[in-house]
Amino acid sequence: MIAAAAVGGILLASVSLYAVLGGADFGGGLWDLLAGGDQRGHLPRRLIDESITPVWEANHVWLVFDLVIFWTAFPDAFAAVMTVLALPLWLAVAGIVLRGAGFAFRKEVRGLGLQRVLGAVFAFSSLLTPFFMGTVIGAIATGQVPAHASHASLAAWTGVTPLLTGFLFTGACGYLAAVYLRWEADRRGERSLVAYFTRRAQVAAIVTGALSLAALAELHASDPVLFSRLTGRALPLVIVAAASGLAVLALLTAGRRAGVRVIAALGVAAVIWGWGVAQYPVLLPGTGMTLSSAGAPHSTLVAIVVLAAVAAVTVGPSFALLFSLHGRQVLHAGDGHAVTASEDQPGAGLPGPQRGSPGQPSAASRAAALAMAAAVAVVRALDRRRRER
Amino acid sequence: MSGAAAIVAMECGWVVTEVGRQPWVVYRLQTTTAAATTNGGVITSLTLVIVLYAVLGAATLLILRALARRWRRGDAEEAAVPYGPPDERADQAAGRAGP
Repeated sequence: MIAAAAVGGILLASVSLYAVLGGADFGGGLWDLLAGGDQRGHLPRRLIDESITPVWEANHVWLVFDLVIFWTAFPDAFAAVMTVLALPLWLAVAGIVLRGAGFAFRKEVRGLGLQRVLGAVFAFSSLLTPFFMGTVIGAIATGQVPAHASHASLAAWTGVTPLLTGFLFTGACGYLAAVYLRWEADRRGERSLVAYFTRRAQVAAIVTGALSLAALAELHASDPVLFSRLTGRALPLVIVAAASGLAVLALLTAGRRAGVRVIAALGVAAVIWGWGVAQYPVLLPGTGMTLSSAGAPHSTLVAIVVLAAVAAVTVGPSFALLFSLHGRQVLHAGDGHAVTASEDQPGAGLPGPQRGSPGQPSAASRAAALAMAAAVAVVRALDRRRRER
Repeated sequence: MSGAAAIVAMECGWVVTEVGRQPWVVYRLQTTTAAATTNGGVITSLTLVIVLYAVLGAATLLILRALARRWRRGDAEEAAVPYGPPDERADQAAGRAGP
């Protein structure tokens, strides 16, 4: 029982990480689509491109992690969900594939027309995936997935609540992306983009809030059990989500920078955990399938908990390093500014706050920093040789 | 030659593992037919996936060859921003406030 609950918690945490990291990538596609023509959209598109490029593959790792845990720990529920909701899941996967391909290809092709086509592919697929994943979650939450299914069902995910959840997910992705991009623009000192993304973050916050309220109202009418759970045991999380949205709106309007991203991410994570807590311990509402009775033996669940702990220890620091390097803009091959300092002082490691920070950086982090500086210097040298040839 | 041979070797490995395991999907515990979905439309989705990945594979090859051609010619770097104006004009237009 405890192992099953622990794995359920790990799954929810992984879904939340996907939502607040990968979700922002999808939201970036939304703002890329809405950025306007070549001239008007140039600056926002550059920011979106530079923010997404170094980290997008790492961000979508969480989806793989989610799926593997889901089918290993809860195979019967996995079978039911994959059978009944095959179509929206296929469409979400198509969105992921086309999004990645469009994003990677559009930078390399020549010719404005072809770039625009690939860019449209990237942007539209960025909208499709969160929408269809939302419909899947909505269908599960409202009990549309039976325990033993033999065929896909169109009605399961085209009800009002699943569709509203789909729009809600898309809105939340756009909201997170706008908040993150505003922070990114602020850190680069691009004031026009700060104002640009502040406006969009505010609009996205309001739209997402309205969609959440609409979804709650719809649940009150159509699924009173889930509604009572959400406003009963999951009420603290619902309140956290609402408070976070309002706090972000207030901070954006006041022009504050500190903590806005974290509060926005916490709000989105609270929505996901609220859903999980409301449903606990049932995996598929409307059936008797709980976390412990979804098909995996106890030893499997224990193994997953152990493996997740090992993964957190081994993968966590790598992610931390990736995001910290990305945050210090060391990951851009063509951008001379951040890299010049490390080249002039090869022994100093990464430029920026690290040199002035109190306390000694550990030997491991110094080694990593030196290795990074060396790698960057080598890449720059090769690049110079290529250009001089 | 070695590039193509590497891909052929990888595909051969996959054939060994996936064809060699038949008729079991879990050796001696479950057959592939027992594990397969009872949903319809499997042929349709398989066809669509093959078509999509053929297109993506061809596009990758074409783009890689175009990149190699550009590198050999020593062309200037591509526009930094998708469908944006070239960099010099962009940096003047940007008016950034800091480094």
